Amino acid sequence: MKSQSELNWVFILITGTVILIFFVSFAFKYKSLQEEKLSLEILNNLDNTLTSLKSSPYNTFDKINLPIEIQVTCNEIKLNNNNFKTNNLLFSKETLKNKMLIYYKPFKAPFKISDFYLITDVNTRYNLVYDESTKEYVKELIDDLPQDLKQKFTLSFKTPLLRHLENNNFKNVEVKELKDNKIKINNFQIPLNKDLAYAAIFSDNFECNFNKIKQEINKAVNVYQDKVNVVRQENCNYYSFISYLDQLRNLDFNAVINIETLNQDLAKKSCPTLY
Amino acid sequence: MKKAELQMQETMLVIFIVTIIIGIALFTFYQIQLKSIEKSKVELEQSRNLILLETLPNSIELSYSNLGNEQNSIDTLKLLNSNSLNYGFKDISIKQVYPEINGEIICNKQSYPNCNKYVVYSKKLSKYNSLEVISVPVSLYFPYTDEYKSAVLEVKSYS
Repeated sequence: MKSQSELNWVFILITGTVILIFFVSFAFKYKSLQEEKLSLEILNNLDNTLTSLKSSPYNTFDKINLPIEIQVTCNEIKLNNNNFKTNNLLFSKETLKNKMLIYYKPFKAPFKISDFYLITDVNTRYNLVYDESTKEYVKELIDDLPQDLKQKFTLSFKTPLLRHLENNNFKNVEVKELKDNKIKINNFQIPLNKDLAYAAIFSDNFECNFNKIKQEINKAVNVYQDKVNVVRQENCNYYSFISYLDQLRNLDFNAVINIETLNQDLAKKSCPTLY
Repeated sequence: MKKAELQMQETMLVIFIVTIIIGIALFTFYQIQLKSIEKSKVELEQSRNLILLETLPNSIELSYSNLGNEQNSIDTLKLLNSNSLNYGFKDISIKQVYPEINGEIICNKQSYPNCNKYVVYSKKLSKYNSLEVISVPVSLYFPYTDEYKSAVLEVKSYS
């Protein structure tokens, strides 16, 4: 009788343990599922907020409080190891915390090509290292930024500042060798264009972003080449655009001024403009 | 011995019933979670459609700009070309509402500008569970005549 009672207790203990383990593991899994769901909701809302800025034709500056650290890569925003794929062009430092500063500006060359999001956080400072050829250019770049971003920049001639202190919150950005309508930013050569320069300065992974920019330029050129093929008006010449658009597709930004001139000529002749 | 066997059977019966109750509770919980996820999915899709509706008129594929300045209207000449948009299973169209044109005439290179419906994007699902239709008024710009006309941009989303 006693051994039967002991057996019962052992049986109840084992069953109780199994049930307890089941509930505890269920609770942990449920918690991680809810956290994942919350992270994705936050990331989705963030991406939607950024996308909504596209409805504005103007440069827009905004701040967003971040309750938690987020990571921004070329194609994704990450939070708690959850990834959210974004189609927006985000030029950002890799890790953002506390307060996110967003400067939205349409990228035009000369027509609108894409939407740029220059992103940093409240803690980060930048030092632009210039040489003789870029002295005036970097000053212009900083002057054109909103006040909150302007404060984040310092300038130094040729020599990077506090190299030993360079970390996630302090960056030296080398802007040098301005020649033949090209400029080197952090040893990456880009066509001379202010929007592209900002993108290179703010981005931690500009190489990947630059490939996306090339795709956007290609897409925009296709849109306007298609328009050239459709538009018909007497005494209005649209075919001259084609070669310049091809030049632009090949990242020759010298074509921008020619496209602008042709477009203005059309307007003077009361012809429908290309853009 | 018989009493002990009876006790053992009682214990097993209790465990069996408790297991069934836990099973039912888990099944109910799972169903509620599934519905909640479905609801989140629908809300997500709705917010995406609203953002699409909000941003599409300013996209490079549609927007009209005069000497580079955005004019908050849609360039009808851009609508005559096929575009490379990809928005999943959706129908996106623009219908001119004023001045009104009788009937429905699809716009293409031949019928333009004497037409009233521009198909921007079309990818239908043959079988779908739900269809969400949202629309917003837009302005259409006609470059040849330098005129603006009223229209409605409509997004139909299949799921």
